[in-house]
Amino acid sequence: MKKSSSRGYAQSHQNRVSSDDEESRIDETDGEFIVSQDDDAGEVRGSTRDTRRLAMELDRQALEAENLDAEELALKMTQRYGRRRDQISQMKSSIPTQFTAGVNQPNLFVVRWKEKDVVLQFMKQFKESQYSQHPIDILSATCRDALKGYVYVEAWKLAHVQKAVQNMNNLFNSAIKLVPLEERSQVLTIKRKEKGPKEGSWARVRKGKYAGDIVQIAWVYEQNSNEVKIRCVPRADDKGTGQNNISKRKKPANATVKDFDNGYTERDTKISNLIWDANPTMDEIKEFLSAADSHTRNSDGPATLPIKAVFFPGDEVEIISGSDRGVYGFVESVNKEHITFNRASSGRHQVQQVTVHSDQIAKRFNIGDHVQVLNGSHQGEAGMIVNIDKNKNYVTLWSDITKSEIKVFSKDLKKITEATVSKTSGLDYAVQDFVLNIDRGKYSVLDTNGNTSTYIRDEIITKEDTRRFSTAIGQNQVLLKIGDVVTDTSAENREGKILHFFRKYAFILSRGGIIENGGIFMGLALDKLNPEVLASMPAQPPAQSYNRQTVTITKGPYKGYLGIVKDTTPVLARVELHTNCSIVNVEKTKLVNVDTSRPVVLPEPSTNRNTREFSPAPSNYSGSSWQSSNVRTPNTWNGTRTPSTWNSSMTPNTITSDGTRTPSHADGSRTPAVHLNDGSRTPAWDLGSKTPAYAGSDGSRTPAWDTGSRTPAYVAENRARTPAWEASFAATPAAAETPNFTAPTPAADTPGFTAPTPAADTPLFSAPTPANSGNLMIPATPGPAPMTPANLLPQTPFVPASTVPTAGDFRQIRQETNSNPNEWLTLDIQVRIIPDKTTGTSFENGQYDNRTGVISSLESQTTCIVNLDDSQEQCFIDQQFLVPVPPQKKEKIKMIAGDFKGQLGILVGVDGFDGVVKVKGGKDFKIVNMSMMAKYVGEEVAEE
Amino acid sequence: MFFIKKLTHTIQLHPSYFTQNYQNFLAEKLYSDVEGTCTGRYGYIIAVLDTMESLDISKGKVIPSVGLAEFEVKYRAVVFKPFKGEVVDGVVTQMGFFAEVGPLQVFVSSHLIPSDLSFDAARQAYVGYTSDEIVSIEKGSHVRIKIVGTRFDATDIFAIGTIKDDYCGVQT
Repeated sequence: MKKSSSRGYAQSHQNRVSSDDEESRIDETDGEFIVSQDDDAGEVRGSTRDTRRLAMELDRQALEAENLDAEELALKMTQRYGRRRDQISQMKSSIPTQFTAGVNQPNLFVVRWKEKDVVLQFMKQFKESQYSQHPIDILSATCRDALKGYVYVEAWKLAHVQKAVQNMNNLFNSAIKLVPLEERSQVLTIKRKEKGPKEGSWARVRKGKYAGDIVQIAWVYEQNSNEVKIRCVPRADDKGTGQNNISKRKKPANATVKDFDNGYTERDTKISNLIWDANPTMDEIKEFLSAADSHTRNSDGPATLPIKAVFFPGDEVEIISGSDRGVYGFVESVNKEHITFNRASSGRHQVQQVTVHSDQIAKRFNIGDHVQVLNGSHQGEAGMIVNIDKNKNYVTLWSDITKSEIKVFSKDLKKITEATVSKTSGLDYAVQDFVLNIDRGKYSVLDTNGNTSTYIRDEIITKEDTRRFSTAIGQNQVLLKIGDVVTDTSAENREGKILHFFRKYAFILSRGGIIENGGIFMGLALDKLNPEVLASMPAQPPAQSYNRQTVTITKGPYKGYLGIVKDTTPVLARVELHTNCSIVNVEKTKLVNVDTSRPVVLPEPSTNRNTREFSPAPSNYSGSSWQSSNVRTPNTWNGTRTPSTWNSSMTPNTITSDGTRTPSHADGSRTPAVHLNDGSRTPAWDLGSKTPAYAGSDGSRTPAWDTGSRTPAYVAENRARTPAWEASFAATPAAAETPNFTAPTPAADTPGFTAPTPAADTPLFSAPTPANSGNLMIPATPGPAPMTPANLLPQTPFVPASTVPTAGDFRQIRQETNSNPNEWLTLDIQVRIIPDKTTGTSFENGQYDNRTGVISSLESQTTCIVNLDDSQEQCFIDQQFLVPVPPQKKEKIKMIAGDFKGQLGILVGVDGFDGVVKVKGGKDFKIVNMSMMAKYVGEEVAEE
Repeated sequence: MFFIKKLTHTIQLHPSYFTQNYQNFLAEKLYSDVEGTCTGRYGYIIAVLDTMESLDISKGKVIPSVGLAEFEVKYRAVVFKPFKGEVVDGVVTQMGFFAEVGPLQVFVSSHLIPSDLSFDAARQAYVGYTSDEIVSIEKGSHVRIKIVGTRFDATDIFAIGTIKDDYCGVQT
């Protein structure tokens, strides 16, 4: 069999090189070899020597065949028989690399012989003939240890190889074959070794004294040995000597060779006792390394990366080992451990893809890159790279938040470009618990002044529970709930979702828009929204919630659809359609309540107000117009209007003629007495169209009405603006003085102004009282009865008197409210003369502008005599030309507004808009808005 | 690097400023609003070049239901934006060390300081001894830094630099 196959082999190849030992000759006819050992040819010779040689060769072949494994055999067979087919394949490879073979490259021939000797002989011959007349035209010769008996020769033509082989004396029985094109690269590809112990790699001990410890492989005895020498940090032997004695006899038997090197114990251990997937952490490795004697410690850490890196498409990687070291590119695809990346080409247009094992590559970073730590103890931190170690395993970062340097594995890093938001998992407080940014025990907190400050964990007492049902009244009296989407109309029209209320402050999470503070900004829920709100916040039921109403959509693509309102914003409603249960956003104005057949919402309230103010004809508000316009329901009306709005903008006649007004409508704004006499109207209304209080103060009108459509505030102030206007924009004198254009309204801090909000937190306020909600729609029911003062009073501790809707004390309260911010003049405070803010005119043509003085006497609520500081002059001056001089720290102050008005004290410190004041006579400190105090220059000693 | 940039700023003006010289207010407001601020996109706005007269102020538009008027002001400003690779001069403000390059704070890590300079804890300075002089980087030193990395937040810019490069380091 052997023989015949050998023959077949020989026949199938016309061109063969036949050679023998020293004496062997090569017959050559026209470039063709005559194969001497072939039977056909052998018979011609028939010598015994030939037979012997043949037998030797056969034996050798048999031996070789045994040694070849299946794969190599397959390779060999392909080489033998697959040649012709493959030879003509004209695979064109545009980018010749070491990974591809092509016809443009020199061919590869296989020559069978004792490899290394032959390779050396080739080299020798090449060198010898290099400068001769007939140099050998081969390019290279190589052999593989794994493939015994084969030598690969690189040359352009077979003839060149034959010529080179011609003079070789060691070729026993050579056969030259062309290696097929596609096998060419395989031939010289070295297969990866199986994963096994490798010196310097890390492992974990499975059992024994060092169980769980991280060890480093110090020495691998043999490739197939099942023992390795490991290096580990020695553990103190806690066993007593007694135990040692007991085990003494046993010890020599299984004693491992202990050796101490450099502070480590080196010992032999079975491979099976090691866990290779050790995944040591940075800390463990540091600990391990720190055990080394200091003088030998390698500050750069171990050379081998202990853990496999995980690569993702898009990562920039670099080959760190092998001949392609330094090649880098961006990961294209990841197939388990084989990473394909596009080589970053310089100059070339073609993209070259390279596939390598993940062990060979490392993530590539440059100094200055902004990166984020993906895992490990510094997880989530971001920073800029300041240092990369030699082996590219370790990277030193300058953390953005802690402002310190941290050392991490490069594999744990990810390049980031945008500003980071720290991860918050596993922490006590999460971002948006008013917390903007969390970093390792430090919390940056946004407070109600809009300032951010940083606290450590212990400084934070507890997380404020977000009351799910807390509400506040926003602009246009719309009820705001947590989760509502609102627009902050005060400044930049920022839009966002309400996260939390605190008093009048709403914390709003911006959608997109702003990035600072993690997207959270602080809005004054109330006062920036509607001027009337502050001055006359009624103890009315909150605006109607539309949720759960069944509605029909009247316009738009969903016209005619039936659904349930799930949620509302000032403009939109989220309606769950009955048909397919999907939730769609629809403008509220397009909704009609199915039960009442009325629109769910009235049109833009602000325009309504204007209409009302400017239309003198009461008939506009007659019942018929109400009905015909069909835009509002009484309850909506009630819910979104304050009584003061009513009063200030309507004539009594309007109300009188309003046939559809229900008593319940009046509930929120009228005294019970109003309801006692009439189902739909109080006698008071009928008589003088006024409540008794109104009647008492004036024949048919309240003083307020006298001013036309103004509230008493206008009168008291004698100015163009309502107090509410003042309150929401530049309310307090101090604020008016500051050049703030959209001045935050410190006045809002006065009890009078904060009024509406605390109410928002009270349960009573967060939902309509039963009496109200029950009777909103039904005229003249006993419903009003529950609305006794008693019912309302519980709210009043939070709501200032001004909002208690009793007509009786209405006027008085209004005045009190107004007096707060506007009549601040008081004796012995230092003031500065300025031009009038509103008109821009100066006092006495500006000759006194910017001079300071002391109020020596008050002539009226708003006028006074000022002794100028820098001269002996005295001026009679209106308060509009004055602003209080803000006190400095440790100066004496006098309160000019608020609860403590008139009191003396000492300003101990200033914190933003607030000052810490020690009030005279009081032991404790009070925090008062800076605008509520003025520098006191009187004789009275402020401090005791 | 410094640029002159045409920018716009929207200002909302309170009705109480609706006077003849409202442009003054707008200009003042513009200066106080934008000068010294920083955006990740343009960098630090160092100074507004326009005066009140040369500002391009749009017609004011009163915002419904608020009463504020909105003006769009177009102005030219000198902006400063640091770039990677840029060489800047700064003053050391804090050891470790940080340097201030105008409004920009640059951190120079010890890894990015030549190894012949070593930190002297007693002097709080990086000290290096050359053949004829003692080089020291301490608070207040003028240094030339090459910026190697920048981070742009919405409202701030932060950079790290190196003095390992040619002609970088203390400037005398």
